[in-house]
Amino acid sequence: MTNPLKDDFASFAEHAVAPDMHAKVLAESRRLGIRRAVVSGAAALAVLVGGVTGAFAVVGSPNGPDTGPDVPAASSPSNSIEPPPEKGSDVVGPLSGTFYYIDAEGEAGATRVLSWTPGQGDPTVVLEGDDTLRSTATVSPDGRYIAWREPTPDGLDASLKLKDLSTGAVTTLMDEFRYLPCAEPEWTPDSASLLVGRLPLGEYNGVTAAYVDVAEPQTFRESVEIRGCHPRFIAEGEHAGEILYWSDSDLVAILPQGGESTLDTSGIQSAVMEFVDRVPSSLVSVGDDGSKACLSTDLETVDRVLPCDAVIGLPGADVFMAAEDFATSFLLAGDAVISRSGGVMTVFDAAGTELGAITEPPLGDGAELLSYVD
Amino acid sequence: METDLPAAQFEEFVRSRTPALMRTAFLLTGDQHLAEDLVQSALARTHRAWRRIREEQNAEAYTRKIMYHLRVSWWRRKRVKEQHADVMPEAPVSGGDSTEDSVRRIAVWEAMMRLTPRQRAVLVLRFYEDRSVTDTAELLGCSEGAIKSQTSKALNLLRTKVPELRELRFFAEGSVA
Repeated sequence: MTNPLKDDFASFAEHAVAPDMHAKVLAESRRLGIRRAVVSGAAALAVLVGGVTGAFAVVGSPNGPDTGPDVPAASSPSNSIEPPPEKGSDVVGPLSGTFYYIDAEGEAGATRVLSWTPGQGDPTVVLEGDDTLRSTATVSPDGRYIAWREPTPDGLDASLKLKDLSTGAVTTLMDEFRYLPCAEPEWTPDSASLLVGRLPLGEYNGVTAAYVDVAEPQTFRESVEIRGCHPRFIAEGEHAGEILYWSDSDLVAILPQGGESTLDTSGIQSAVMEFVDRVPSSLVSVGDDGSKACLSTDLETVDRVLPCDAVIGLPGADVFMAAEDFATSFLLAGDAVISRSGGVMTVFDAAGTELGAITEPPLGDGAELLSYVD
Repeated sequence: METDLPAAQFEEFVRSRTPALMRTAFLLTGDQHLAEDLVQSALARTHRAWRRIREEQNAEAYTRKIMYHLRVSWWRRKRVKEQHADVMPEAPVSGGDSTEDSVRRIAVWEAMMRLTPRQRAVLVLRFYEDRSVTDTAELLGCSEGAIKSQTSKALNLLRTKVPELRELRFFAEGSVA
């Protein structure tokens, strides 16, 4: 059968006129070279790390695919990657906590949340439900609870549920819970409350979010306008309690009840573009002390994105690590940064020094890393 | 800045591939001048990376990848302005087309211009360049799942805007899902 769309496209494309643009191309290339030399000089050092854990670049100046002939790629012996450990040698000193994964390997394709602590056997299923778990399930920072949206049996409504992971007790935190994809439930750093989307903002891309206390179910506390999506808290340090979110093409920092933060988050989009030639589209996570944020450059979606592929240093917009492709993803675990690729998690400290590697247990192909709890 | 490759070889690459690149750029932008800007910018970046590209023998693939990424990033910076622009590029319809074809193509063109640049890029890659989902994801720098979902959304929108397309089983439907 003829492909009608291809025929239409071909017909349109024939209207393009091809001018002689060789001279203009060389002139623009020269301009790019000047701009890149300035950027490169300011950044001082380019480090390219690649290896068995997947290809990613660490800290420094632009090193994307269009690096000009005048910008040599540098290497860093101090950051060279060691071979991954053998299966079973799965303990890394600074990370003795628990990893949480999401997969769709439950009965009849049900979505599951699994927990796994290196050195303590196979992953354990802690929750099973429909596919909204992927968008809403979230483990509290202290590891005590998991919260999620659960549709009512008739599918017409939903509740915000809470499970105590130590006792298995499930309670309802909020009936008639309206889930807004742009603002999934997010734990406050003290694990005492969740910030949940309540209403979409009329003229803005964003939501009015409200706090719900674990100790006071069915009650919305004060609300805050999130003029973007996926709010995340800074847990410690100078900006403790402040909220970061992704707004259109910028990372925005606000105070816990709204109002402008002093944290400088400017220039991130261009920094990531310069580094990996991809456009950041979503905030995935924020490091505990707010010195790093992990972004996704995958196609835009209002839904929650779990894997992130560009780690940004804050304040400012230094690209700390960025994956060359989507086979590698990152997770911020306290002050550490974990690079995950091919069943191996490589752990770096806050400065980018490799601390070691963890071999993941056998997981389904679609298993995604949800979070790490110390 | 000198490159290892003789300048003539890059010049030959530019001259020989510009027509094909322009055709794709025209589909991505819907405008001759924007298409020229896009191709020129992509080729300039190719020139900057020419030494490495020559070794990998993938100059055109590299240029196309840059072109797609530039198009998406340009749009992101300008999208508020574009979203409020009422002027739509005139549909490029050939005089030789039948009336029926012309009407349908105008509708297809207008629907295309209402897609986001990423959706448009996905359709151009999948159905003009006949790229696989995997190739398209690699070229656009995103996941295969994202390509499938964007393809589905874009095709649905095209079908909505162009009733004539509803009757057609899209050739690659099976690979879209």
